[in-house]
Amino acid sequence: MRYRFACTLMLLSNVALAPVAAGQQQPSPVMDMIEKAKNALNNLQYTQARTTAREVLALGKLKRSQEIAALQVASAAYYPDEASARMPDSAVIFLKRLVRMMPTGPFPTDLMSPGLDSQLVWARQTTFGASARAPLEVTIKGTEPRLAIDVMATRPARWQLLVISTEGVPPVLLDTLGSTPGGRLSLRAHNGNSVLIGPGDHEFYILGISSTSPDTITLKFDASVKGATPTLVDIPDAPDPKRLLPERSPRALGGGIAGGLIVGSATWAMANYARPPKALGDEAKDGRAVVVGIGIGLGSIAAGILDKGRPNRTNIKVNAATRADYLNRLAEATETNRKRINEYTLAITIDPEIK
Amino acid sequence: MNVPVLAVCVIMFAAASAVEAQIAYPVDFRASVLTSGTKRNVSLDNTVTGRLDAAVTGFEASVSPASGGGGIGGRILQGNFGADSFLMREARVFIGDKAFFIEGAYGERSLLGSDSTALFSRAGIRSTIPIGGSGVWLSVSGAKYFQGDFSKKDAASPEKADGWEGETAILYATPRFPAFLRFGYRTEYFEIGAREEHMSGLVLGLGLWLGGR
Repeated sequence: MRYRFACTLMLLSNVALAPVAAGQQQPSPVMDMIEKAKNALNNLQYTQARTTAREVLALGKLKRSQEIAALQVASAAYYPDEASARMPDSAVIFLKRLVRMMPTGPFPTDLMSPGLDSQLVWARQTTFGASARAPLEVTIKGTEPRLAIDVMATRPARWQLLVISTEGVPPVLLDTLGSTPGGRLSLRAHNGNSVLIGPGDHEFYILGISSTSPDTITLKFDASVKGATPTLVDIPDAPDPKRLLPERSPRALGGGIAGGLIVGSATWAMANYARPPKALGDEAKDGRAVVVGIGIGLGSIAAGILDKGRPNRTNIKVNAATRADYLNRLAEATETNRKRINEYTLAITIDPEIK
Repeated sequence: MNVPVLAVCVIMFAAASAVEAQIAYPVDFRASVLTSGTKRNVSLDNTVTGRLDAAVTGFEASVSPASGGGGIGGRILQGNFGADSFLMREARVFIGDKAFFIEGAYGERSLLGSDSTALFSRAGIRSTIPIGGSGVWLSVSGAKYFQGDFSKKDAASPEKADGWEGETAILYATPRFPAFLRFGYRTEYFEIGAREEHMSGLVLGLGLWLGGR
């Protein structure tokens, strides 16, 4: 096998760098088994490598990195360079599982081969896979969004970033991305009205929703957040409309009807009973008064019906002052809260291992 | 009412719908032009000598504090009844609140069939009340005429002025412009010596009303 020399070199380098690596990754029985499978593969013991890789995958509760490593070995074991030893159908099963978790990036150099790479490309074309990469530490402040978490997929997907603080509390949506195979999601401490991320332990959920098929992949990061939640002043309540003074007098329906009847009748009476004395009093009465009286009466009644009340300027001024006072207090509280929110700072430590 | 005055009034009301004028004026100022299709019956020595119809036009104005209390005003009415012209002018004062006034006036008026004029004084009441905030107001007034030429008070056979007048009207004050329309009925009886006049007419008016509404 033409990779054997390279693998040998790698093994030697691993031994040489063991003290350094030990500080980065704890040795574990799982990793030992994966290493054993790799060794079997390098020794062309495909059956042994396959068996060991499947045993690892059957363990369950693997870390994502362990599962990826096991799937890589299994895929390589079922699709080695030696064409006669290949089992493509089985390899595809492991490759598709691998692609679900590793949508981008190549095989490790010790497992890489042209045939396997082409199978990986094919698997990525036919399988939806999604992953994310979060920084170890990030500091966010106020309402300002901070680009933090990289996401990538094998095909365009819509993305959602949610945080769950405590059990029973609904998830809080922090950010979204439109249909894209990759991008960066933002973290935000406060939305101006309420805390999005508070101090304590949290879980960040990333949903990758395939744009081309009904498929969703959920990724989870554990995080620890340090900071002090801002204490906001209470926003004053708006003036109770029931306690504001009436700005109009009651409708004058009664006044309109009564006034129309009185003044209309007075018009008629004036023409018929306020008669001059002596000879002039015998002259014909002015019949137009009836028309005018009816006009005045109907006009007044219509006014009473259509009336919405007379504006009360004093009450309007008092209410305006009440509203202005409320707006001043609201502005003060809003400004105070805005300052406190802007000073709200969180230091977030994220476990990079996707759960 | 002549054509130019009518044109000005029409333009004022055309602008009324477009102009905002919610200004708090310190005074209640009203000025209006009016026209009245008037019947005028005249008698001399208790014999009816004339029954004439004509359009009497005029101008009326008053000013008072916006809060009420009292004020001053005046009125001019004129018309031509056949070959005879009619003219009445008066100045008035009034006291009271915004809805009810007691008023007194002093003026002169022409006498039919004579080149002379008669002086008179007048006392009466006037009430103008709004129908809520509709912009419609109702107005009622009544007054009695008295002697005007006091220099003849002690003469042997003085020609004493006497009579009365009454008026009802409905007004509509536009909400966005300080203008008002007036529609009403007016009747008056005036007597001096052996002369008597009875006038009645349908009154149409258009005016400016600043403050006090």
